[in-house]
Amino acid sequence: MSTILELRDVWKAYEEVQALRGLNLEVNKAEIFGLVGPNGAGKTTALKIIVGLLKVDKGVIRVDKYDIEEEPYEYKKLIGYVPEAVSLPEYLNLEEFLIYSGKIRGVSNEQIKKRMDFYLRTLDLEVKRRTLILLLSRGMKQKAAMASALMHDPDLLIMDEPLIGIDPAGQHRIKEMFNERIESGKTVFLSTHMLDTAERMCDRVAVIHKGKNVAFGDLESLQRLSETGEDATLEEVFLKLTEEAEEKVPELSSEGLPERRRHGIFRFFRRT
Amino acid sequence: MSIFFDLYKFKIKSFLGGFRASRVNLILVALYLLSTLGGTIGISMAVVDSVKGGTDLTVHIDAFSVVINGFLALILVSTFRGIVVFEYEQGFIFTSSLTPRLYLMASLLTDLTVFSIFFCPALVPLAIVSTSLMLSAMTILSLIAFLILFAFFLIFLKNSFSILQSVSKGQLTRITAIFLIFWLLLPAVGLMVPLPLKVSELPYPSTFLAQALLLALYGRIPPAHSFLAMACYFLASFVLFMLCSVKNIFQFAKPVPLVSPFDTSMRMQTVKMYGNIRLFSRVGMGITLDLRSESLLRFLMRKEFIRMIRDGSLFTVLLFYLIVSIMSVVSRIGEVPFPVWLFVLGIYSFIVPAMLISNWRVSELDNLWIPFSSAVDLGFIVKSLLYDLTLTAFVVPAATILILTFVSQIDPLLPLVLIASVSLIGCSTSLFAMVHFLGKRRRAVPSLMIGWASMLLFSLLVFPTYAYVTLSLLWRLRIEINLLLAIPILAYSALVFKFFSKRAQEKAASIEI
Repeated sequence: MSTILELRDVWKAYEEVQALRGLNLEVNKAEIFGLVGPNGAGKTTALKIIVGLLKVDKGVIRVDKYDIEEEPYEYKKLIGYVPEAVSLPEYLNLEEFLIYSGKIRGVSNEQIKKRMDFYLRTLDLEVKRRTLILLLSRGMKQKAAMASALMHDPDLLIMDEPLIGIDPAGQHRIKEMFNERIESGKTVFLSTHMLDTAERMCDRVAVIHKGKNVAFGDLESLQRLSETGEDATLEEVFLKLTEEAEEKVPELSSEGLPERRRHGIFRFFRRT
Repeated sequence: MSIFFDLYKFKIKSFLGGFRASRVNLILVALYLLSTLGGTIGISMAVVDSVKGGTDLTVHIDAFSVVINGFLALILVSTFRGIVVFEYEQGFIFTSSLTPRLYLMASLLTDLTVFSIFFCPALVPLAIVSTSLMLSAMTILSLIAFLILFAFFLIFLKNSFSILQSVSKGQLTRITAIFLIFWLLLPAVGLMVPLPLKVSELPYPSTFLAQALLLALYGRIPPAHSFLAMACYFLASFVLFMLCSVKNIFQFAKPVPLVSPFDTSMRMQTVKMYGNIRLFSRVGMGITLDLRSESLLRFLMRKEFIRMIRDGSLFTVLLFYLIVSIMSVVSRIGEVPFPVWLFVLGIYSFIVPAMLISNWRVSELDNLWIPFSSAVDLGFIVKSLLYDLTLTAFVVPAATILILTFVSQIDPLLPLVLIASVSLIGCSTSLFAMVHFLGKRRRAVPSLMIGWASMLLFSLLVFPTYAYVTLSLLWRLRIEINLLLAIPILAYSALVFKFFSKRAQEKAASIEI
């Protein structure tokens, strides 16, 4: 099975926090892959690095054949992204927003129209087509962001906590949509701390803790690794693995933090 | 009574909470003063020059009354929302044993305090006019009394109609308000088509105020019957308010998030921006973003233009240049030798780029993940934004100047060079400063701080342009020399534009959000 996403020894530090410490991942084509971990494990940071919102300090990330550092724009044609806290241009209506999303992703006008109609219908947003985004509910905004991420029919859909704020009927439709995508050879990569969601939806998961890999594989292999037994749920496996990791991983230190950058007026004029 | 004052103090503290949160918010006050004082000083200078020049401004009572009537009509339109309260009030105050009347009285006093704060720049023209024209103490006092009666009349009227709109189930209140609005705006027709009656002959509150203000310019005290009529309006609005305040408004009030006008925090600016979008999207839905634009640059520019319409940025720009136009017309009527309006144009064209960029940041900062996670070059996004802002900052004042060329017979060369240069330099430096502060670590910096920083940089770079305009006015340079000097000024501005545009595009590629 070929790989669509690969992270090798990825490090990322913020000013006071070492968010990722040598993260490794491999996501295959045509699978739903889940990234699970407790709060502050580095899930969102990892996702933001993959989609180009953050720069990596060290390590290699490949999306299909592209190294994202070397080709920072080309690989984005292959990905669609839905962040956890969705913020959308509130001054546009839903239709305008989807047109905007399609246009900046280089989709042809015919395809924009076709896909917009399809996703508005599928995600039950048709009646809100000309409603200002400002007036949509949180769940509707989440669905709108999802439709936006799918406008260019990406090979790899990356989602941070995809089902939060969406009603059960909407969740059901989204799961169906994911399965259809997998059947057509596309990949879904999601991060979540809702373990029942991960258990029901994902083919494989990676458990991360304090920016490091803890375990990797399908539920069966994780059950074996954690020695929790065949009937153990992902939640039980997760708790066992993260407890063990807690004992192994030392407390976060300032080691590896980037040098504090200079502030002030001189930096203002410095060439980037 | 102590509950009343406690509530009043609490409301004022909440309303002005921005200052308590951060001293940085004082910048907003400075910006407000800079933008309003520019206009008010300009207007008062024009008025003083007109009066000294022997022009009889009292012949314009009709026109002045129409303007005040327009303001009154706007106040009535604002009451269509009904009684609006802050969410915290509904949650904590309305659930206490406080009576609606006590709450309304505290709200009224708060409104009056806020009204006084916002209108304090109006004291500057009053001071300029009264000292320049050496008005007597009696004249000034009578004028102040008139203004106070009018302010109370406005506040009582606004609150009464808001209560009636909320409480009444039928359409009667709305129909009455619409009728009053129509009645208030009717005299405006008289400015274009002769009507059998003049506004100055009708007993509108605006007529009495216009009379009082214009007569005061010539040291005359308004007649006693004007005072009496104004006092009657005040009393009628007070009685109406007292009757309305017995209603239990707690069940009908519409909750909105707390908005403190002097809070520059990103959260508060966003709340205010959402309010603007709700308001302006009603008029701005005619222009839509569709699939017609073939080029991505044109499409992105159209999107930014739509944002400027719907978040009210364009409205503010239009308002700024409407003031400039009014001043130009006033200068012409008064045959003022000094082009006051050009002075105000200089101030506004200085503020507009920073204001436009600041509004973009408030609207778009949290949405940047959309272009950042797409394959589009970020420099391209920055470029389209810059072109759009520069066009807006140039086209609106340029259109104003061209209209004024015909209406007021002004010489358009100097103002056109001024706004072309200021738009090019202002927009590029402001955008560069904003992109610099887009990064993750600088996101918390309030937009106004960025606006201030960019205006400092901008003021250094735009100095040659202002020097050129000032010297040209002082030395009364001939048009040929003006034209000759304009070429290097515009070339210099284009160079600055190119430099900062390139730097902003480079910087955009390296930011993290």
